[in-house]
Amino acid sequence: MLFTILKFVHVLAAIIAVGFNATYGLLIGRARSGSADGREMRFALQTVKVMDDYVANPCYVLLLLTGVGMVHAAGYPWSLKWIHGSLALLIVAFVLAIGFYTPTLRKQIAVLESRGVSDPEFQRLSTRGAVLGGVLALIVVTIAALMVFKPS
Amino acid sequence: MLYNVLKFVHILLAIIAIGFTSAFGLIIGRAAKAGGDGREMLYALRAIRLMVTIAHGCFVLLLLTGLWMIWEVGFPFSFKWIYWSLILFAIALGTGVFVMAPSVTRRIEILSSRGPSDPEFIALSKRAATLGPILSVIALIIIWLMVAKPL
Repeated sequence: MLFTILKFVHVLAAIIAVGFNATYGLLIGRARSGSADGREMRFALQTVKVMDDYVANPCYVLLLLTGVGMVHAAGYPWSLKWIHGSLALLIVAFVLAIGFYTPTLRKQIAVLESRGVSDPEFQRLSTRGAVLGGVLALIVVTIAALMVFKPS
Repeated sequence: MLYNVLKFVHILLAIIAIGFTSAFGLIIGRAAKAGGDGREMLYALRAIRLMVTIAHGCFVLLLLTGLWMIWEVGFPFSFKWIYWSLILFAIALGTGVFVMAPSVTRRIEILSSRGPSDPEFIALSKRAATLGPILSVIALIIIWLMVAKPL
């Protein structure tokens, strides 16, 4: 029963965290066709920041904790490729998200508020954010594949 | 191997479909607190309309991959977790396609022509705010059924 509860929370946290992440590109992309004063873009970036800080990132922490809990509860050895591989990738994703994506987002909001949507630094930060988002998506899809195919 | 491929696609589709729809409440809630002229709300509803279209496509593929997995493994439809999840899924998808999606389109039309203080816009927003959490509870029950698999 404990394993089933941990798995339920794990799956739910994965759906929320990754699903929320998947909306960012769409929200920011649509805001690009907004007005020249950047109000839609400001709203989009601030909303993404709230979603990331208060929902997605805490869900990733929960994902890690429930994942480790399931490994412990089921007695899986850490030497299994899909377990240590996914754990390593999750740590890489977390470092990229906290260390690079979140500061980029914060800078984007600051530059937008002070210099507007057409500022070259804002454009550069937007490109960086899009590249980081793509890399994070690739890592997360690889983790999902490891969880399903379970290579030993 | 085919079962694992289907399961992988099924999980990715669930992430997109349920993840997208879970974000609507937060996006709309933030837009409602933004500028009084409704510009952020209009942007939010337009983004949500696009997300709804993607999510509904994913929900249909979710159903197809789910049925394919049942057929592949040979699970009987008499299993509680299978028929209950199918019933709940039909209710959720029906509500999404026939109530929630038209509501988003209608709210965009009203907001563009009459503004955010229009009574019909407010009534539709309240209805969506009530239905959203109900659909989330249905999604939670389906996920529980998928994980716990009660017979």
